[in-house]
Amino acid sequence: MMNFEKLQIPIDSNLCERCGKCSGACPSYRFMPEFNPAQIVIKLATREKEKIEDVFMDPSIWFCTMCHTCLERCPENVAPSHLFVEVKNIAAQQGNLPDSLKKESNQIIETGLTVPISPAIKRRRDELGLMEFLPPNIEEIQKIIKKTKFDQLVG
Amino acid sequence: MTKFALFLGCLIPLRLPFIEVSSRRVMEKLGIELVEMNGAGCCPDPIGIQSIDYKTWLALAARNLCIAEEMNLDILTLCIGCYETLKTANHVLNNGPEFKYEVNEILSEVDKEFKGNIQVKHIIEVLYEDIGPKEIENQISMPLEGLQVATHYGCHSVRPSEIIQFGNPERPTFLDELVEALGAQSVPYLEKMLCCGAGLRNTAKEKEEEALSLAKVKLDEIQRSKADCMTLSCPFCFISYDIGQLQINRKFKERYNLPVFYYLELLGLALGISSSRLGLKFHRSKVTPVLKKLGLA
Repeated sequence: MMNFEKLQIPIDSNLCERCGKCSGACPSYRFMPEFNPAQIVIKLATREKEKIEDVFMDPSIWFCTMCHTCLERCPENVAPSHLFVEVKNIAAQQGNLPDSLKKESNQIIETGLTVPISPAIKRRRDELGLMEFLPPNIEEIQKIIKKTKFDQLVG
Repeated sequence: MTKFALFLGCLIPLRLPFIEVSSRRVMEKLGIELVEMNGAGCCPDPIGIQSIDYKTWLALAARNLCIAEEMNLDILTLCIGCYETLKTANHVLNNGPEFKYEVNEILSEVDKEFKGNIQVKHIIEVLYEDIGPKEIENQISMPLEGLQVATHYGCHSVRPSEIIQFGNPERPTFLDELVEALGAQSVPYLEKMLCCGAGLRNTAKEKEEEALSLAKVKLDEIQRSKADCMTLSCPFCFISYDIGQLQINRKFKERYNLPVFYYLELLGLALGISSSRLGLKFHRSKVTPVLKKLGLA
């Protein structure tokens, strides 16, 4: 289970059996060999500072689709996809964060949504006989974001 | 009458509103009342936002959960991404007292408190568990006889199984059963549980070709299976295969022409709701071959 206060990284060096089931199950690895889940887990398990820092700065950690197949197949409870969430949280703090995600985050900070409410979509909803889309309570969302300092992280 | 708080999310109401229309019309016909969630925002996105900052992700999800708690209703989601976020947040907050404490401290800024007294369900889960394939079979008036359907589950509809606890995480059958309840046939095919690649579209824009390749693997197999169409229950997967099909055709000089349906649209047709009332003309993949086969066009 993810725990944002007590990080699991570096992970226990004996945890991973190196069976490779995570990489075998990974849809991203199939087309992007630079993202190799087993290799990332093994690097984290070395407990060597340099290798772990390498993982945090690697742009390919963002290639995980979060399908969680690795988590289902891992016989040792490493839960790679959850571990990678932790890796990416730390990477983001160190500035390894794709522009597209910065953009999505700022859209949420401004509107509370990932998709803008456009005049075209208003017309389409009308045409379909749907009621007007109720906008989110943006004041509440922005208060929460200010409290967690998410705006500073993605700014 | 069974009632749920309807969590719409962003993508369906603001990009694929025909999915909202089908869901509302079908649920009304089945006697399920959907109540609007005033003030709800993005779930938020289980791939991007969770990966950037877990704490913000959990707190924003908890705020949405609180709205339903105040309504005293379980949540029904139309999107599998929203389902993953809200169901996971509900699970984490209910099972981790330290998470609940910290999130409630954040929520006190907006005078909210997570209590943990509601459930989160996806619309397919409600159809399967609260209504059931047998009852659906009894309710339909226009069986989709002869229609061969390839089902696509969507990763987060079943995984992580420890949290989702619905269906087998690698060999689920509920969507196939729901398709057969409509009088159609679910066809077996290879790569059935392969991810659609939607996650990559957001977190790795430069990997568009790889994301499309992933979707193409599945389209190839479905084509080989001779299915008339595919069905799914997630707007992200829908985009991967609907608009995605046109992008794949351009990029790889292919000629895929596979109709893609959100499950509620097929159910709507079987309940006798017209294709125009379901807004099927707004699909990018043309649905006419299926309507013709069913004698509806």
